[in-house]
Amino acid sequence: MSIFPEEFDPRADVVIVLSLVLVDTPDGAFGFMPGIEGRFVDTTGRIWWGSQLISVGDLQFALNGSAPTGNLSLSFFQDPDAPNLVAEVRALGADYVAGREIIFFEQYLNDHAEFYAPLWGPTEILRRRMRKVTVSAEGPQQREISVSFEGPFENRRTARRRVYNSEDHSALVGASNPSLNFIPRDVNFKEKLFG
Amino acid sequence: MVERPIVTVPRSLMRVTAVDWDIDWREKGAREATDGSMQTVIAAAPRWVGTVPLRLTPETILAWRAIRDEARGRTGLYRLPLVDPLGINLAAGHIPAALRNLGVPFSTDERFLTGQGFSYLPAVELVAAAAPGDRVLILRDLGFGHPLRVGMFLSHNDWPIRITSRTEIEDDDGPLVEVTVAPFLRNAIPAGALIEMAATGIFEVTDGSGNPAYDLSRISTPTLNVQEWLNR
Repeated sequence: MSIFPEEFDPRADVVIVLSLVLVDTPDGAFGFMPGIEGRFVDTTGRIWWGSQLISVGDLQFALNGSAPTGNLSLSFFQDPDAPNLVAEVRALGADYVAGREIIFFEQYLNDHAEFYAPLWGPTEILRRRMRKVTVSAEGPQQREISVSFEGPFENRRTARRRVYNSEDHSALVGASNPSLNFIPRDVNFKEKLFG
Repeated sequence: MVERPIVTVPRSLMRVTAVDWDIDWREKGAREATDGSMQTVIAAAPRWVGTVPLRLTPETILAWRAIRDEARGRTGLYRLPLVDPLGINLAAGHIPAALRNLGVPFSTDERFLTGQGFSYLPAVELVAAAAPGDRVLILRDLGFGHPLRVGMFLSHNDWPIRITSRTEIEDDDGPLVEVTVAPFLRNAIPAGALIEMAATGIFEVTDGSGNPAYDLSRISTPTLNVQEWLNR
């Protein structure tokens, strides 16, 4: 099975593709095109805004036991006359994005004109959970707001902290269970070989 | 966020000495691999780019300073006429010189108090509505006397396009012209809308160029490097 739409050949001589990212917030889901400028309307009518100020770090997949992490950041100069964007983001609170989804899409296109009239919907490639918003300032005016996100299995990157005894077994299955009282404590079974 | 003012540059200031408007198709990585294959990846929408070398006389230097100061460097956006004397010669056409020089009057034949009328903008009418992504337009000549030619610019709502082919077709209402355009329409245009033949676009400068410095000759030859602004 291919993740690509039918008729799209990723090995063609010329490939047209757009990277999209959707950020879910209590005020609705917002779509962005990181790293490029422009405005893209997909087949469902959702508007994706592009900005060269938005950048995405390396996207990781959960391979070899590493917990995939990443971040999406917006760097900008604060106009002294404009409202303080950092303060506005802080005012939204820590829970504004925490635990919500950030979804990465690729939009495959077969023609330049499809930048403004796409045939296919965006293809989802990655779904992550946002953790927190961090803000950093560099110099008097330069600011960076970044959202860090993690994979859905982040709790599995460490051991489960459960051992084989009745207590932890009962906690795991959700009911009192004495089975492990009878667990063999000794694997060195003496067995008579002769007579 | 910082507001980006849009500064309209009048056609009278666009005293260009060279014309190089081009479409930036945003291709990446067209290099030959070791097996001889080449793959081109395009990850952004095409846009118009250009270098605008100007030759400014003393009066226009002052006016250009005002434009440039209002645009505040790279903050502002320039609404530029895509001056292209080969595509359309505004001095030609069937319209009397008074109309071109003084501007188009009101229907009562009066002009504004300054003696100037509305700017003279030759246009063609779009017969059938067009959607974003379309490349074929059916146009009606409104009798301005400027021919629709392959390679000339048109624009609507400051989205420039360029004609790549033209076919004359006959309709019940009279002759029409079917044109294909490059790159493609970026905005929806309703039927009956006027498509400007004196094309304009909204551009941002890519560097600090355009300073009208002059020396003893009092002639300034600044160059403006621009690319189209797509975030709208």
